[in-house]
Amino acid sequence: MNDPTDNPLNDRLRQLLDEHEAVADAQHVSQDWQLLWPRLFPHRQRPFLWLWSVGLLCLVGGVGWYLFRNDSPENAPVMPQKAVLAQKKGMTSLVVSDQQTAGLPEKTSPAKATVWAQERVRQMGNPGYRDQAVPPVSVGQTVVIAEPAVEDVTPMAGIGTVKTITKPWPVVANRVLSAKEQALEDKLLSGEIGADSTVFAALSRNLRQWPNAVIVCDLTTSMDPYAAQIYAWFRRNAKNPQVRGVVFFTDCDSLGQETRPNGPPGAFFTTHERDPRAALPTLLAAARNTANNRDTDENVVEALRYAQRTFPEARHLVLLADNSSGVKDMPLLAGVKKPVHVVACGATLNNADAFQPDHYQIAQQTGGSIHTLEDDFTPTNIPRNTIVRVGEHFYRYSTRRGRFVKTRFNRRPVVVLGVRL
Amino acid sequence: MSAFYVRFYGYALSVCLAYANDREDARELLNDGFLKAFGRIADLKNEASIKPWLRKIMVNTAIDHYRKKKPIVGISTEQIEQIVAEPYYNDEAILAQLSADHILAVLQTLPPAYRMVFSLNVLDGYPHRDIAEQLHITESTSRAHLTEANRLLRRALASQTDLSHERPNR
Repeated sequence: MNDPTDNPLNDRLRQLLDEHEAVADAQHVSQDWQLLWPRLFPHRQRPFLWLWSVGLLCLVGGVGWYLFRNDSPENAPVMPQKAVLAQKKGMTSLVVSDQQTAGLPEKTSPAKATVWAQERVRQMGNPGYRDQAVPPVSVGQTVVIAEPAVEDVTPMAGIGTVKTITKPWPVVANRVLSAKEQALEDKLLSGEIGADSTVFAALSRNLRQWPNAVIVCDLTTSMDPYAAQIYAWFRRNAKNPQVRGVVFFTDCDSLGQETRPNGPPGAFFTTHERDPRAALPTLLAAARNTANNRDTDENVVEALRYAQRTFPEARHLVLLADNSSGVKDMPLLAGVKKPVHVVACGATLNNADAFQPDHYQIAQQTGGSIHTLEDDFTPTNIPRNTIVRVGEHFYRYSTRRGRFVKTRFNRRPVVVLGVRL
Repeated sequence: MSAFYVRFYGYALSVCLAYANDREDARELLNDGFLKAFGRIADLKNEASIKPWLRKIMVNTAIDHYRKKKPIVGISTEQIEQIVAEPYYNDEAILAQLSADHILAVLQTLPPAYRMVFSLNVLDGYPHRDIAEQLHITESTSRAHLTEANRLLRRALASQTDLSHERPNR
C-alpha cells in the first residue's frame, strides 16, 4: 500500500531529522532536570527518613506502653484477691498521768514539759512508728491517737497488677433487674455495638461539626442498641465536650402510660453523664417507663422541644430516630428553632421509602441534616442522583419526585461515562 | 549525570517531538525516557552508540505513552482508503524551504495514530509488522496510517510553504 512517490519525501525527512538536535531553552533544561532529580534519587529527598521512622516507632511504642500500663479500671481485669487478715486501725486513748512524768525534772518549763509529753505519747501509742504526728499535749491531758495496723499481715500477692474499680457501683445495680433491664445494662457496659453501627458512625463523622449539641434519643422498644452506641462512642471519645447532654424519650408519660392528644406530657430522662455506669440508672428508668408503649408513632417533636428548653445554650439537636416509627406530634414542629440532625436508625417498615417522611420533614424544616450508616446529606440541598444506603437497599434521589426512590442495586453503583453500573 | 542530561537533552527532545502532541508532552516523554536511561546506563557498553541507544529508549517510552493514552475513537481503514483527489505537491521544492523544526511542528499536527506509525516507520525504520505488534493494530492498518500520514504531511507542508507546482510527467 506504500506509495512509491512517498519515498523521496520520507528519505528527505529522515535525513533532516536523524541527527537533528532541537533547540533547548536553558531554563527548560534546568526545570526538567529539577523535575527529574527527585525521581532519580527519591531517598535523598528525605535524608532523615530513618530517623523519623525510629522516632515514630518509639512514640507508638511509648503510647502503647502507657495505655497498657494505665488501662482504664473498667477494662482492666480484676484479679481475684487473696483473703487478707488485716486488723482495722483502731483508736487508743491515752492519759499522760503524773506517774509517767517520773523522769521529768522538777524545774522544767511548761514548753519543755509539753514536748516531753508529746514524745511520751508517741512512744506509748506506737512504739514502732516514730514519725507519727502527735498534737502538742500537756501533762494530765487526754489525747486520742490512731493505732497502727498489725505488722505481721501477710503481704498481698500481685498487688502491683490488681486494679479495682474506684467508683462506687450505682445504687440501682444492686437491685434485682428484669431480663430486659439486665440486657440493656449488659449492652451499655460491654461497649459492644453489634453489627449495626449507625449511631457510632454518624457521630464519629459529624459531631465535630455540631458544637454544643444535645442528643435526643428514642428509647422505645427496639432502640436499645442505638442508645448503647451513644455510650460506646462516649467511651472512645471521653474528652469530647461537644455534647451538652442526652435526653431519652419513651412516648410515655410519667405514669408510664402512652402519650395521647390532650393527655399528660411525656416523660423525658435527661443525663449529663458520659460515663455509661453513671448514666445507667437514667437509662434503666427510661427503659422501665416505655413498657406500655404500644403504637408505632412517637412523641419526637415534644422531646425536641423539651431538649431545646432544658439546654437553651445548645446549638444543635441530634435526633436518634427509629426509621420504622412515625411522629405523632408534627403540628408542634414550628416550635423547634434549632437545626435537627436526624440519625436514621434501621430501615423503614416496607423498604419502599428511604426515610420516614416525618423525620425527613423535621430535618428539612429546621435546616438540619439526615445521616445513615454511610451517608450524610442536607434535605434542602440534595444533588441530583444522590445515592444513599439504608439497611440493605440503595436509594436514588429523584428531583422530579422530590424524594428518594429505591433502586435495584445491591451495592453502591459506580458511574462510568454517565452510566450507572 | 547532569552533564549527560544537558549534553543529550536537545537530541532526545528532537526524538520525542516527533512522537508527542506538543512540546510539553515531549518534555514529559523526555524525562521519563531519561529516567529509564539512567536506570539502564550500565547496559551501555560502547560510548559511540549512545545516541542510538538513547533514541531507542525514547522511542520505547513514546510507545508506552501512546499505549496508555491510546485514543478511544479509532480511525477506520475504509475512511482512510477513500481516494481523495489531491493536488500534486513538489516535494523537493517544499523541503528545500523547511527546517527540521518546521517539520516537527507539522508532525505534531497529525493525529496520534498516524504520527506514531509515520515516526516509527520513516524515522526509526520499524517494519510494519513490528509497528502492528507494538501498537496492537493490524499490519494493513499500519500501512494505511502511513499513507494517510504522508498525504496529510505533504498537504500541511505545502500549506506552510505556499507552493504548488505542476505534476511532472514521470
